[in-house]
Amino acid sequence: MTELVPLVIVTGFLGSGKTTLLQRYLATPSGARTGVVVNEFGEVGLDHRLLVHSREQIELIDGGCMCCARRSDIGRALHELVRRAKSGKGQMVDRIIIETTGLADPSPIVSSIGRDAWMKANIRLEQTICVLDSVNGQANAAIYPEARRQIAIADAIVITKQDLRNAQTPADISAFVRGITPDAMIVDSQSPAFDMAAIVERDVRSSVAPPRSTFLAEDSSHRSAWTSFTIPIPSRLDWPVFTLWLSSLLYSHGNNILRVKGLIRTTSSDGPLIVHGVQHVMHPPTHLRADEDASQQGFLVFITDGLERSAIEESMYRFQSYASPAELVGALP
Amino acid sequence: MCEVCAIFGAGEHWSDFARSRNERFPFAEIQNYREDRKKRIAVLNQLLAPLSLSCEDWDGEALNLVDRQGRSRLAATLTDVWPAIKLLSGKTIDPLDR
Repeated sequence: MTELVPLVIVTGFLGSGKTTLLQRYLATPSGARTGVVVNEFGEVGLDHRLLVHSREQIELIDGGCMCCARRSDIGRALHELVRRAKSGKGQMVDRIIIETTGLADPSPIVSSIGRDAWMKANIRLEQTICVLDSVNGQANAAIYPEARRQIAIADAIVITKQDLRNAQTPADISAFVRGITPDAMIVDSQSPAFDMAAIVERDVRSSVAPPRSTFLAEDSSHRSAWTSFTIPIPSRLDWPVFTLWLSSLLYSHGNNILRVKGLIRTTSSDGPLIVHGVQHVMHPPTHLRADEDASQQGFLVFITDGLERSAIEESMYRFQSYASPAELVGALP
Repeated sequence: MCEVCAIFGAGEHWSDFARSRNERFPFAEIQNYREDRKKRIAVLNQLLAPLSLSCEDWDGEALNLVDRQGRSRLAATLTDVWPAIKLLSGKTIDPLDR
């Protein structure tokens, strides 16, 4: 079994500071062994020139956004970097980072990676990091749906430009971010303890933090119909039925489910599972040891556009009721 | 592995990872995996009955959907089942419909 190359997507609206942060990371020892795919909307790429990095480790996709017009190019660029990672010749590539354009909705990129057999066999999508500017970030998110989607699917939000005079306070920014995504990690790039390498290299798959409070987790105060909510799951779920329910829900309503993530216990394994998906694409669950997070109650976090918590919760438990053997007897063909 | 079809018999879809899979011996849990699969197909048949469709296992790897006229469509993974249902019956199973 070949080893999968970890992939991190760095997203954030135009001018939020993605390239600056990436530059900081690439200057670290582990950053030096990172391959970068830079996507620029303009005809002539410039961002990649700002990245002082070994030229052969950078792949540029310019003249269109990779979330729509240039999606096929991601495959080519990633293929090239994975080939280098596995050949062991020249500069080592231990990890790949995709820097999206400021206008990109990252979910189609996640979806491309999830659907492509070659990518699934060679690349493991670790996490999405969203860079959020403290001066214009909130205003951009109010106007541009892409900016809100970038925040919604992120596993970590890096707040930049806190040193500027007209920056919003960290409390305001946190409250704003929590309204969109209840569980993403929020870090301030100006904090003395800030370490970009620790954020890029952290193990997201095996750590899902439950939302800090139900109040924030059920925020629907946005201008759009976006809602984020948490469904507590105190008991074990029947895994075959849960997978039927979730895959049919994502087929019917995936366009309106920006993200689903959570920790559940199932009838099929002793330890808890971490499930994680973006729109129509689910990733294979991460298994925790049975004694890990033993006291942590199960939960599912949804970020949806217009779907209500009560409908999703009711439907999940209705499906679970199919799991009882008595009901199955008559249904077997 | 099925020697005739060269099919491994343990899916790679996210729903096939109910248990932590040993990378060196991916088929150590094959019996449990087949049990889960059998149950999933039984529940799916409950959902398909009103649409006059049925589903059967295809070598532990894919799912074969059949309608009353005998038309069939193979879904490689659980994700592919839902569009196949739509193609055969013209209807969608929406879990939010009561």
